[in-house]
Amino acid sequence: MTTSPLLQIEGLSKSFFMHDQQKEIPSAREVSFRVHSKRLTALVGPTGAGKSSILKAIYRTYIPCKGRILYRSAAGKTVDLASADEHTILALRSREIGFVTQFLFALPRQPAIDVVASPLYRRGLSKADGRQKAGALLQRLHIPEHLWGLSPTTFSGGERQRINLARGIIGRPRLLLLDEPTASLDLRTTGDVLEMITELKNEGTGILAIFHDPDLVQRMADAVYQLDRP
Amino acid sequence: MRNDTPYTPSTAYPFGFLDAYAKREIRRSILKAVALPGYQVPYASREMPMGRGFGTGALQLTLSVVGPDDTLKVIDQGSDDSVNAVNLRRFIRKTCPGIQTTTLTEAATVLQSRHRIPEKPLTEEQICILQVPYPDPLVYVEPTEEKRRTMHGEADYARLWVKLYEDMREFDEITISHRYPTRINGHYVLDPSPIPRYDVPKLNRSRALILFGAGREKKIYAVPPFTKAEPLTFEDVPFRTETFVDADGNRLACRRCGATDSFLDEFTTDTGEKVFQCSDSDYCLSRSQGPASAIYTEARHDA
Amino acid sequence: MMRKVLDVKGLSKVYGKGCPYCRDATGPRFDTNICPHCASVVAVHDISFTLYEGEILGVMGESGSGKSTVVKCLYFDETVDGGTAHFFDNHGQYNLFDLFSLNAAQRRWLRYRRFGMVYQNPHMGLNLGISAGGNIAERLLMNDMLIYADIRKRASELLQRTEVPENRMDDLPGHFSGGMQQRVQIAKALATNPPLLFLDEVTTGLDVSVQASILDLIIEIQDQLKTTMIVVTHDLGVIRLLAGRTIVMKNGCIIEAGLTDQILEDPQHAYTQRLVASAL
Repeated sequence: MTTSPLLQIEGLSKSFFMHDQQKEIPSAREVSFRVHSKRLTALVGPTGAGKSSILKAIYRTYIPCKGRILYRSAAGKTVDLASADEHTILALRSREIGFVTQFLFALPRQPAIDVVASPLYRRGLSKADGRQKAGALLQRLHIPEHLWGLSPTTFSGGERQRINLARGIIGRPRLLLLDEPTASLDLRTTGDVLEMITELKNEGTGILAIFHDPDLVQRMADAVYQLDRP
Repeated sequence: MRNDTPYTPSTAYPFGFLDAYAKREIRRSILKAVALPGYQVPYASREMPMGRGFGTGALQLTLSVVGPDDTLKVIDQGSDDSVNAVNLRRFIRKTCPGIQTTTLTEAATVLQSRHRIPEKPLTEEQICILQVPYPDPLVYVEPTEEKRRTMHGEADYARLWVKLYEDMREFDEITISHRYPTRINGHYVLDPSPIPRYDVPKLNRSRALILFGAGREKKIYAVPPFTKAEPLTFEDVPFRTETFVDADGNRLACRRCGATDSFLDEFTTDTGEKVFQCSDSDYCLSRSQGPASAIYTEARHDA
Repeated sequence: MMRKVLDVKGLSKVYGKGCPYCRDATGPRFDTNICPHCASVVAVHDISFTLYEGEILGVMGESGSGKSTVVKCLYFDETVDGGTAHFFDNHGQYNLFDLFSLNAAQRRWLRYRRFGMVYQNPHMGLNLGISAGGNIAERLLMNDMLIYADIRKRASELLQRTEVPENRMDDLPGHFSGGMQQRVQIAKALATNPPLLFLDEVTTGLDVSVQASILDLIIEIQDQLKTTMIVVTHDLGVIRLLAGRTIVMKNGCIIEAGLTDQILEDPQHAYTQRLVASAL
């Protein structure tokens, strides 16, 4: 790769200081790697190696303790996600950086189709247009249409995970962070999800992923970054 | 200051009963009220030798503005003959030696009235003084006077309009029959005293100066001549006055003078028949018997 | 491009006569907001934050932390003792606490036309003696909308949007359920399409399912109207669902501010860590 990376992580460390125990718990130490557009970079390592923490630090759910997270934005600027102000982070989250976790984030009564389309609503899309796009995605992910109007809080683990994925990719992010996107899926739906991830990648998205299954890493990753326990 | 003669031999009271300082204070308040159309000017309402609520506020205004060469008319509900009107007139005449009294609207220079503005159009030469029981229209929506004053100052009348809205919602019309809140010169909203809706348009660009006196509440306010007075209403709900029509939509007429352009009082006769008659007795008499016959002589009147 | 809506700097509010030591002797370090020298209550001390168009800021804290006082100061329910707040509108910029640049009538104009407030207690925001529609009408009438038919139409639209059955429009909100009263309050607050909305513990005390539907409504309003909001609450769930950014208050001071998910998942301050841990 000769192009400059989409994301460049330099010496990233994260630890948590628990005030009530007066104890510092390390999570990731001196991590450096790059993520390129049109490529899938996988983070691998034993449990507790800080894989999820690194994704969260990039998304700024965690505040990095040390290091830089240099992101090349659509506007061509380099933003250090570790220190950028909150409004910049929120703007990037809404337009450029997507995060798919195992945990569903949904309003209590919101129908699945609106959960998926809500990133588009935030960008000013009408309800009709948003739902049309969300419906197309849900169809591809084999979510039965009779579920679209129901709240995903009642869905099975596999269905929720696909809702999460659909929500994460509907805005066509430039950088997508995936935390075990297929953990509770069966074989067939896993195939659907991987296909969509690959498609997104081929369209230009840079992807940083954690997979629970080493075979998937083998199958999907263009680059692998190995982490050890800090 | 002609009427500030200290004492008159006949009564041992100053001309106009009130002492010179009291009258000056009231006149200053009147000037302020004229300068700020619709604004309630506080003043030191004096004790009068009659109960508050019998028109003592308007009486103090009258006593402060009349001089010996004035001609006074006092009416109550349109009538010169009611007890309240007679007593007030008698009191004013006793304490203002030389003053003329009349029942003829056009002959009066100063008119004190309760509940009506005369039917005959008033002129620039006249002052109409209305008796006011409750001066503040905001009292229905805001119990604290301090807050009401702020609301008046900022022309914050939305809550009055809400009252009108609630009226429309409940009855499909605005049901306020008298004391209709009226906005003066585009700012202050006043309570025009208990005149019927019929009389409210007479305030608008009135040729005569209209003064309001509330004795118990210690307030004076004014609608100066040729000043805009608009009853509060919605743009699509026109302000309506009493129409006096029968079931077929025909305008009712006064049974005495036959007028079809006056405010009518309804009576039930001994036989149970409903009849209508002009509320303004001077207007009625002038129409039926001619103006001259309507003039009371003092002797006839207060014998 | 993100447009700034509100810029608050050093907002302070003291109840009581105050003394020179008040501010140095209160706050989270002393775990009190009562001045030991003069017994004044330092309700809010040196609060600063910036708000951009369309965002929801969460203000979180326990009772007595000063979080409600912040919005009450901004809504002119309370006077302030220090600090500035600039409100940016299409029409220009307003220096909210500067008596010399904003007179009482201008403040009232802002309060009733450019801001909206939803209180925890519907008695504060609604006149329970007049109909639901009348409550909304009040806002419109303050906005010089004097056409009865238009007022009816707009009130009905607003109630529809907030899911209050249309046939309740002419009923007194005093007879409504708590959730419905909050909906009427929200409808009233939205009457003039204000760009800035203050929500003070709006779901506190409601049933969980009613809470959920009110939160839904707030999200929908944000999506559709791009209304900027400050949401005051002690409920972490509300913060999580609504707010993009959150400030955490204790004893009248901000002890932590950040992205909401960061506050909840990686709280930095000991107090926030305890708060989050106790809620999970």
